[in-house]
Amino acid sequence: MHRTDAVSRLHPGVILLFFLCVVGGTLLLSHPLFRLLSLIGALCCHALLCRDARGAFLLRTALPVCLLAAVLNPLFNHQGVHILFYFPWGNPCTGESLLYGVLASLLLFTVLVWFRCYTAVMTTDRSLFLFSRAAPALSLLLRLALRMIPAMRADFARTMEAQTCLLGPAKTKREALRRAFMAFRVQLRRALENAVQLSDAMKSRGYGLPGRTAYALFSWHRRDGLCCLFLLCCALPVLGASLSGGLSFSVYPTPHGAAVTPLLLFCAIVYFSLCISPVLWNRLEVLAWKRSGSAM
Amino acid sequence: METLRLSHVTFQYPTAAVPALRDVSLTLRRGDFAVLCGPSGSGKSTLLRLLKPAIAPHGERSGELLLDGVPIDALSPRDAGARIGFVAQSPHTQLVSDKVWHELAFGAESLGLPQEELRRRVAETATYFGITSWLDRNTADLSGGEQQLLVLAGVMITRPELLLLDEPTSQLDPHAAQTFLRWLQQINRDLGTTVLLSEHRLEEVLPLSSRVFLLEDGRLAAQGTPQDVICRLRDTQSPFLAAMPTAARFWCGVNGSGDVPCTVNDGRSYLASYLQTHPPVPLPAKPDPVSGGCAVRAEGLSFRYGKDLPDVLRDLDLTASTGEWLCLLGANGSGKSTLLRVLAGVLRPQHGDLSINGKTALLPQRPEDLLWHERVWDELSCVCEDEARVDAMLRRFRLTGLEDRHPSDLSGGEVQRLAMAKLLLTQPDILLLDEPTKGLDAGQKEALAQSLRRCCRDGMCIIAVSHDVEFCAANADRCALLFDGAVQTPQTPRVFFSQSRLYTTAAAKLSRDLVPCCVTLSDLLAAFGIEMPKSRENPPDPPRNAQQEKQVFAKAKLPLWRKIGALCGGCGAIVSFCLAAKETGPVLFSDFGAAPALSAKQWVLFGAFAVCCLLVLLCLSRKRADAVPPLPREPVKRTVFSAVWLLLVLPLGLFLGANALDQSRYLLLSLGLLAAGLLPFFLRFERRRPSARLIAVLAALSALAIAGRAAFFMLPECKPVLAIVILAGVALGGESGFLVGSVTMLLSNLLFGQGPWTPYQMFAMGLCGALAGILARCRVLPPRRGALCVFGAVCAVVVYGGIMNPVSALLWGGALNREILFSYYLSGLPMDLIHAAATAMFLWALAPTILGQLSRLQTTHGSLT
Repeated sequence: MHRTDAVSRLHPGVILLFFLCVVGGTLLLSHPLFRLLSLIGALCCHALLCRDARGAFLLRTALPVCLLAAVLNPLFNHQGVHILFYFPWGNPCTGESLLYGVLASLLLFTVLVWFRCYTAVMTTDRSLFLFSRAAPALSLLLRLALRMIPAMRADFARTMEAQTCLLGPAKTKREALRRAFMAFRVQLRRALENAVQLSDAMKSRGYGLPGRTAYALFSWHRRDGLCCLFLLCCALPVLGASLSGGLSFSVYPTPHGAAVTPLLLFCAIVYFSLCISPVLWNRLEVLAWKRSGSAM
Repeated sequence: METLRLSHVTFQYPTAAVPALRDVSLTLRRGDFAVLCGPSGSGKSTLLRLLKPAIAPHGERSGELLLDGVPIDALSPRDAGARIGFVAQSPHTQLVSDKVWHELAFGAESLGLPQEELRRRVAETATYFGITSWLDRNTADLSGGEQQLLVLAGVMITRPELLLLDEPTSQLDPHAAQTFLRWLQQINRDLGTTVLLSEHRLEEVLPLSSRVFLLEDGRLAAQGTPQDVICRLRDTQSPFLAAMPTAARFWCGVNGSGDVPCTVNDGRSYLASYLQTHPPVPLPAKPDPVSGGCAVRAEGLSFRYGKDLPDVLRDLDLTASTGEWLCLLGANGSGKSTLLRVLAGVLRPQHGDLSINGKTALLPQRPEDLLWHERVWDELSCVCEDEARVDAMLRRFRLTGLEDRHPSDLSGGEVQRLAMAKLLLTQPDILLLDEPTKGLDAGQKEALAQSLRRCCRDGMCIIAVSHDVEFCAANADRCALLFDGAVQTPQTPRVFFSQSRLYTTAAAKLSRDLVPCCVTLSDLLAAFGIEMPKSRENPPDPPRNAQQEKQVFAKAKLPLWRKIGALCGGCGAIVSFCLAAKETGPVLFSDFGAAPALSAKQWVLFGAFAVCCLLVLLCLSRKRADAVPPLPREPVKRTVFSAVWLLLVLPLGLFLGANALDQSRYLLLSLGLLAAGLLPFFLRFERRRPSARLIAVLAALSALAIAGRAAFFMLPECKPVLAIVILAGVALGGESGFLVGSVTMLLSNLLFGQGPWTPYQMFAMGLCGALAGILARCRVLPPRRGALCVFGAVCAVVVYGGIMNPVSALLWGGALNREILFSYYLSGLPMDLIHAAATAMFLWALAPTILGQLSRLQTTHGSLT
C-alpha cells in the first residue's frame, strides 16, 4: 500500500525520532496541560495517518479499558487528603486517587493512540530498514520470517483442505482439533525442511561473504534534515524545562505543580507544535502542491 | 573458448553404496546453452550442485572441475558466489524476502556492494527483466512463474558468467515455463552468459540448446548437439527417447535420414518431404469410450469466492460416466481447480444442481499435501485398517520396501504414487486429479497413465484438470476446454485436438493439414503403418540415501507400583488441599495484604499437599530412556552469560526502580532496562555472524509460531507460541530460544499492531526460551514430554504471566502497589491458566515432531547451527 501523507515521505529515522519525542514527552511530562496537549496532538495525527482504521480499536477497546482503569484506581489507592466517601469495607475514596486514575488512564490512552499512528506509518519496510542498519542479521531473520508467514498459512490451508477431501468434514470438535494438530505437525516438518533448502538458496546467492551491505530503500534528503532540526528545536527546550522542574506536577498528597508562568506557556506552545508537526508538515505539502499546480 | 571443464568426475554420497556420478567428463564453451537431461535420479542435481561450491553436497569426490582453467574449489568464495549463478527447482524455497525489491537486492547485498552500485544494479536488473512495476509488491502475491523469474533476476544481479539451473520449470505451468525459457534464451544470446540447465520439458528446451548432455545412472551416456544425442538415443534404443521432441521422435520412428528435426517447423518440412514418398494410410478408428452409468452430473453450476467477487464458475454443465477418463484443459485462472474442489465437496456452489453418484477423492496439485505422517505405512493405514489391502496397494504402486521410510525422503515420483495409493485405499468411485503430471518426467508420466487406466477399467470415473496437452491427448477418453468458468462440450481427444490450431499437441501441430486427425505420435506413426515402439516397464526409482528415523519418544511402560504411587499421591494432594482450604477459609485468597499468620495445623496441611504433589511427580517421571537424540549444545560461556544477565541483573533493576519512582518514570526506567536486557542478546547474535542455516531455522520457528495462531482458530486464546519458543530453546540453546521468543513477539506486534507492551512481551517470551535453553543445557530440564509440559505450564504462569501481569498493572492501573499488583495477578490468573494448559497441550503434541525433525535434519543435512 502506498502512503501519501507527508510523514511517510520522510526518512524512517526522522519518523522514529518524532515518535520517540512524543511518546517520551507524554511519559515524562506529568503536568495535566501537557498530557492534554499530547492527547489532542495524538488524535489529530491519528485522523491524518490512520484514515483506513477509522478509530474502531480506540473507541471499542482502548477507551472502555482506560475508563475502567480510571474508575478502579480509587478502589486500591487511598492516598490523598480530600476524602469523598467511605467504601462499605471501610477504605476511604479520595479525590486525589480519582484524579490520579483519570490522569493515568489519559496517559495510557494517549500512548495507545500514538502507537496506533506509529504502526500505521512504520510499515514493515521501514522497520526493516531501521533494523538493517543497526542489526543486519536480526533484520534478515525478520525478513525471512515475514516472507515465510503467508506461505505457511497457504500451506496450512491446503493441508486442511486435503484432509477434508480425503476424510470428509470433521464431525466433532475433537476430531477437528486432532486434524488441526496433524496439519500443524505436517506444517512444522515442512517448514523446517524448507528452511534448510532456503538456507542453501541464500548461500548460493552469496550469503556469508564478509562485508555484507544493505540496500537502502530510503535516503536522507534536505527535507529530512530540516524536519529533524524542527523536532530537536521543539523537544530540547521542553526537556530542559522539565529537567529543571519547571513543568512538574504531582497529585499526592494534594494536587500541586508548577505555576502557570510564561515559561510554561511557551513550553506548552512548543510542545504542542511538536505533537502536531505531522499535521503542519502535511499542510506545507498541500501548499507546495497548490503552488506547483498554479504555476502550471 | 572453453569455460567449464569436468574431467573424470566421480562422486559418492557418504551413506550411498554406489557413486551418484561416475567418471563424468564434459566441457562447455563460453556462451553455450547446454541442457543436462536424463531420468529422475540420474545425478543431474548432484552434478549441478557440485559446480556451485557454496552448496556442493558432502561426499567423496575425485576428478577435476575447472572454471576458466581454475579449479572451482580454488576460487575465492566471493568469486564463486558472483561468477556462478544457481537457480533451484521450486521458487517458494528460494525466495528470501517479502518484498520484490528486497528480493532482487539480496545477491548484490551479499557481495557487499556500496549503496550507489546496489541501486544501480537493482534499477538495471529490474528494467532489463521488465519488473519495475512489481517492485513494491509482496513476493507471496506473485504467481509461480513470476516468482521464478524474480529468482532468476535476483541471481542475474550478481552478473554471473555461468548460470546453473536445476529443473527450474518443473513446478510451473507450460505457459510460465515457456516465458521462463525465453528469458533464459535471451540472457544467453543477449549477454553471452553460459547456461547449463537440467530439464525434462525437452520439447521446448531442445530446440534452444546448443549442447545436450545425457546422464543415465550417473554416467554421461551421450553428449553433443541435440541432433547427435537423438541419433545416439535412436541407435541405442534408449527408453529416454520418449522425452525427446515429437518431431525428432517421428523422425526416429520412421527411421529418417538427414538432419534431425527438433522444432515443429522443421518437423513439418520433414513430414511434407516424407509424404511425397510415403502415402498415409487411413487411421484405425479408436473404439468409442464405453459410457457406463452417470457418475457426475452438473447443471448450471455457478460459484464465486466472495459475495462481491466475480463468478469463477458460471453456468457450467458437465457430465461424466463411470469408467470414463475426462480431461479438462484450460489456462491459469480459468477455474479448473475451483471446479474440482466444488466436485469434491470442499466448496459449495451458489447456484446449480450437482449430483455425484459415489465417493470422490481429490489428488491435489502438490501430492505431498496428502501425506501427514512420519512413515509410509502409517500414511496408508490411517485411511484403511485392512493390512492385506494396504499391502496389495503398496505392491500395486511399487512401494514395497519403503514402508518405514519418512515420506519427505521419497522422490517426487514415489510421493505421487504414495498419494495415489492413499487415495485409492479410500475406495473412491470418482477420482479427481489436479495437475497430476506436474514435476514428473516422461517415464513417471507413463507409469501414472498406466495406473490410472487400470482405475478406469475398474469402473472408476476420472476427471483430471491439466495443462499437459500431450498427456491428455494420449490418455483421455474425452477432453474439454474450460474457459471463463464454463466447459465446452467434451469431445474425444482426436476430434478435440485436431480441431484446434494453437492450443494443441505437438503432433497435431506437426501434421495438421498434411495428415489429418493425428493428435499423438502413435497416431502419426500409425498413419504410415508403423507401430509405436512400446515403452519399457518403468524402472523403479533409484534408492535414496536416507537414514531411517529413530523413534524419538519410545514409550517406556510405567511399573504398576509407580502408577499406584501416583494415584495415592494425587488423591492425597486433593484431600490435603481441600482440608487446608477449608481450614484457612477464603480469607487467604481475598485479602493478601493482611494475610493472618498460619496456624501449625495449616502449615502441616500445606506441607502434606506439597509432599503429595512431589510424590506424583516422582512416580510419573521417567528415566532418560526416551530422551531426544543429542542436539548441539551451545558453549557453557554463553549459557552462563544469559543466565546471570537474565536472572540477576534485570530483576534487581526492576525491583529497585519499583520502590523509587512513580508510574510514568518507572515505565521509562523499565523500558530502558528491557532494552538493556534485549540488546546484549541481539548484539551477540550479530557478532556471531550466524550461518544461513541458523537464521533460516530460527526464522522458520518464529514464523511457525505466528502462523500457528491461524491453525488453532477453533480454540480461542490457545496459541502455540510459548510451546514453540520453549522447544526452540531446548533444541538449539538458550540464546536461540531467547531470539525465537523475542522475534516472534516483535513480529506479531509488527503485523498486528504495536503498543507500549511490545518490548515487555518480547522480553517475557525471550526469557521463557532462554530459561528452557539454560535448564536443558544444565540437564535440569530433561527433553522428555512430561517434563517439558510441566515446565511449559509453569513458565506460562510464573514467567510470562509473572512479567506481563505487573506490566498490565503498570500500563492500565497507573500506580504500582501490593494490592494493585495482587488484584492484577488474580484477575490475570484465569488467562494464565488457560495459557498454561494450552502450552502443556501443545508441548505434548508438538515436542516429538519439532525435536525429531530438528535432529532428523541434523543427520541428513549436517549441523543446523
